[in-house]
Amino acid sequence: MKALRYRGSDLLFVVCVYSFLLLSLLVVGLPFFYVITSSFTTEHEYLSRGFFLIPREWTIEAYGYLLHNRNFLQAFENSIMITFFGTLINIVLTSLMAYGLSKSWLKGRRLLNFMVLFSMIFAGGLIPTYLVTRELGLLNSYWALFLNSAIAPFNLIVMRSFFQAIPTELEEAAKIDGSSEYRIFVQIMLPLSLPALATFTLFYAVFNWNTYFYAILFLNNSSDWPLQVFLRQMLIESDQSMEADAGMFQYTPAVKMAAVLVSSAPLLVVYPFLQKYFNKGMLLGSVKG
Amino acid sequence: MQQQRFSNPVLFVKNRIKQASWTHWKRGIPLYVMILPGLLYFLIFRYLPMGGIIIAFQDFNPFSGHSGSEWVGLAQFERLFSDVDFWPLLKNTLLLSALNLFLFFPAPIALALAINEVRLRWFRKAVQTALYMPHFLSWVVVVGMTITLFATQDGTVNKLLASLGLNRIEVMTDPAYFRYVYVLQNIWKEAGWNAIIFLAALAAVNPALYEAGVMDGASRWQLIWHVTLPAIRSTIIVLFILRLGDVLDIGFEHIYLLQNSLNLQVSDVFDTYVYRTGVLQGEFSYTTAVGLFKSVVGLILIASSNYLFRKFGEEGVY
Amino acid sequence: MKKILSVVLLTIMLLGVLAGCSSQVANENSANVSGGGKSGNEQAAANEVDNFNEQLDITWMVRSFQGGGWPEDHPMIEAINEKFNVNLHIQWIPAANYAEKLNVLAASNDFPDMYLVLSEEFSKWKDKGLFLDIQPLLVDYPHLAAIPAEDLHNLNPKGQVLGLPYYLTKARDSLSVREDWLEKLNLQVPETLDEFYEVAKAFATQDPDNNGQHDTSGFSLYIDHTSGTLVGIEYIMAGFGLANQWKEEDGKLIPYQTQVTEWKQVLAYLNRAYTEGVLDRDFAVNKLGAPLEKLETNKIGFAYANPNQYQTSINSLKKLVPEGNIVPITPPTGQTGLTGTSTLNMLDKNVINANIDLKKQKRILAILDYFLSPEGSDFIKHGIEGVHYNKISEDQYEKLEAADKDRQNLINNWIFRPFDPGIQMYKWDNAETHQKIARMFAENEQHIWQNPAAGLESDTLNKSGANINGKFISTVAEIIVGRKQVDEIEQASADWLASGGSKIAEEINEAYAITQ
Repeated sequence: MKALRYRGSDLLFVVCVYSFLLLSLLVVGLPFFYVITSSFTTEHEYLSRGFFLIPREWTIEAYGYLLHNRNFLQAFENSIMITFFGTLINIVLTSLMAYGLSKSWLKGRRLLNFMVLFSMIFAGGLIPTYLVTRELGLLNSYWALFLNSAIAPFNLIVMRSFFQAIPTELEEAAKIDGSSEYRIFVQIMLPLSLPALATFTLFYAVFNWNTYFYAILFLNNSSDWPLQVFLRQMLIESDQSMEADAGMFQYTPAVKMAAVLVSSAPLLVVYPFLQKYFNKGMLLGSVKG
Repeated sequence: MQQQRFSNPVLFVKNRIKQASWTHWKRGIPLYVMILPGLLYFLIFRYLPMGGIIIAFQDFNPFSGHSGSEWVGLAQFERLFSDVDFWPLLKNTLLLSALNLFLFFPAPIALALAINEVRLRWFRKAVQTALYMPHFLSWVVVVGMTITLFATQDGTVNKLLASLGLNRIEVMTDPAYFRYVYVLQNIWKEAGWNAIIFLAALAAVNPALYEAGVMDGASRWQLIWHVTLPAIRSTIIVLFILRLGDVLDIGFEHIYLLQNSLNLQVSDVFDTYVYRTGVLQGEFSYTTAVGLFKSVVGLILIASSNYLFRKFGEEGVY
Repeated sequence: MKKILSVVLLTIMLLGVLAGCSSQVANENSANVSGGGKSGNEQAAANEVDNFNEQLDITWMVRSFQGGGWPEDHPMIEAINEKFNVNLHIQWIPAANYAEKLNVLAASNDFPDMYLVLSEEFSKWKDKGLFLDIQPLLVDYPHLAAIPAEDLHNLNPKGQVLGLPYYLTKARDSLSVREDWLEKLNLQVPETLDEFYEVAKAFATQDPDNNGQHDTSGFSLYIDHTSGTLVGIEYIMAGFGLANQWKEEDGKLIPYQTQVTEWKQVLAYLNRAYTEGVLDRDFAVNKLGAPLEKLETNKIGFAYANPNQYQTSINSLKKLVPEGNIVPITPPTGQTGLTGTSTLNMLDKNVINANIDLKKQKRILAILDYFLSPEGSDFIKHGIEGVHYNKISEDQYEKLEAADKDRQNLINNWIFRPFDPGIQMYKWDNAETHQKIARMFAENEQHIWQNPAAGLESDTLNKSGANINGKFISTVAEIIVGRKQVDEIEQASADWLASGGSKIAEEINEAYAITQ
């Protein structure tokens, strides 16, 4: 990359790009910073001060409270399980099918592609989904979650278009060497599409991490539920609990914000590790090599 | 493609069409095997439940099941189309959708292009990570924060305006602001996240193209226009077509949280309407009928845009 | 393209038939179960006394709120398991999704042994043979039989008890005022709505918090725009003669949307309050708890507060304003002497599955009966002695740390509890607090503002009620902020009637006639 030299007039361009990004950073960063700091404040300061960036009184009480909450920890553990295995299933099935469908010479491909697309637009609805899951004996098992959302049509379609964008030279060379389709897929195509794989691993992981409604629907035992159920009850239900005297357990705003942050922490931490796959140049090296 | 497939003209002439198509099938077998698990998933978990759509043509009673419920033909659709709210709902939904398409859809592309131009690695990483984070805040938090900032009386911004002797802006309750608040929140929360997919596409662009461009004396603006954008064009098109399929899907939770009695006339969309009139009441038939209507519109838009893009030589989504 | 479409459609239709068949099979199965429910064997079993010899698995679906439910090995569940020789599996469904889950279970006939049914589903399903009729069995369960008759029979078909109500203190919340603000501005507790206005206006304009800024208002409210209801200003609405949704007149029910004269008075009052800054200008974006929150955070002077958590509210306020205090007041009277206060409807029912073994049904009834007994109600409220509290002397108790961690009172809070306003009075609190709370409830009880149509079924109400009520309330909100004229409520009222309102009134009156 260093070999590239740009003209002097591009300075303006660079200034534009950096100021655009700095501005976005500010607009996104400040409110997010507020979420962070409000998890370290006391309840009355949060309620009485409106928007603020630096609390007058710092406290880590909220985090202490959360990390001693058995339901929270259990849900956290469940979410990690669901996300890990769910994503594994997702990515294997999706990349296999996307690769198969990416070959434009394949017969019946268009019908299959349309089938995928059609299922993205038309969904059967709650009751039939529940009935099918029940008939297959999947109720009260994580398989109900894994299988019901094994492939996201959107991800499949986009992944397919990524595979299609890969130059065909390498594949043809391998074919001449007598490699099978499977070998080409595993040894050539997958390494070449690391950016795409990283992207969709992330997409699926986030999707699985956010699983909420299927868990309530298919799992009867609340100690199997993922974090989002806990989180949503915390954030949303306080508005609806008028009749239940549920106010006995109102969480403070700090605890709510802390829960939001702790519960997204694993995915925030994972991101920088996946980020390196979005870097340029990988493809070039392999084609030339 | 055509030439590669029949690279051996002798073989091509020798074989009859039948045989040719058999070798063709045979060649595809490994691929079909790879497709099979996914296909089974689609058949069992997507298409089998799809039979449930028939309840849109019934007056579904959960106790009688699909076979026992009364058939009402198109009555559920008549109820929807004859509702005085139908046209206002359609208008509100389409306007929000149009704003999404023209403002929210390009935002992550612009972001990805800008990030792609950054050479400072640490800055690039920092921006990417920071902009990615809001995706993990739920709408409750985002809308709650907006109210903290912009509420008429207690909002930080309005307090500031008032202390400067300026008029307060009713950001949350004036219907004139509603649509912009909605789309700006979308951008705020999701642009960084959605940029990921474009960044992944950009990672696949061949750097040799840039080198060639620089040799030709192109400025960086020109490089974006002539090299980068064409390289991710197919990704943009695929995402655009898919986005059209959701044209009547506005994101229920977000809009529901933003909605209040003072902006109802512009904030009421199909999803919130069906929540009030169907979901809360357990009216499965009506809910399904409205959903089916939305899907049909989505399908028409996807099919026609896909047709057009294919006509212009693009790959499309099927 | 055409070919593809037709293949896809054909597949769907085929699958649809398949799905239809499979659900039919499921329904037939369940029909068999319910048909067999009245065999001779079971009749014999009915007369046997259950001595808890056999261990039974019981599934129980309940509604859960913040914090979620108990894990299965919770000490409270273990205590119940041991006492009744059962294996209790409680399914804690988040309240926000409860109705959806219930409907899905209905479609697959997968009901648990015992569950909570929301009033709408209860009315729709009560003739489906799903719920056990407890009436004939009540003789064996004295504490269940002692539930006040009106509450026990409400919404149930005549002569049957299909569901046991989840108790609510109907007139629970107390209208409260900032006592220190009154003192600071040298004002009296308002007794009429006119006086109330003057006091609220003073709160908004005379800087009761002494910070030199106009950042306080008199009162606030909350609008539930999904169902179309105003919350938090019941005393104003009732004072001007508006009904709580429905007004009874000569044995007929009249929807409050048609009380145009009263609405005009209320709206003129509220519009003036909004314009003069007396009404919180952020009312439209308030959440349910916002008015109380604003009272606790020094922003408004009047709001409803829950007596059960009165001390918590005072404590929050005191953190911000050490000399701050709130006291309950009598709802101010309107010009014609009317008063009214925030009133809840006790409509949700606990039901027992009619299609399970009689033994199980009886065991469940025994458990429920225990919850209402003196010993059992003490247990579901205070938990286990030595674990959740300690007895210090004859009438002195101390709460232990485990109580906060275990949340020992979830059954009492969310599921089933005695019919007594003292549900949140704990024996480790001091007696003075209990008396204070009891006095508030007694006072509120005198201003109860009942909805005579609460829980009545109407098909049109189900289908379009929320929609047209939402529009009506939207106009109300627009009039309050001055975007529309007060007179435009006439049009809103006419629109409400024309777009389904008169049909709703008709159907509600039919349903009402049956109950009379």
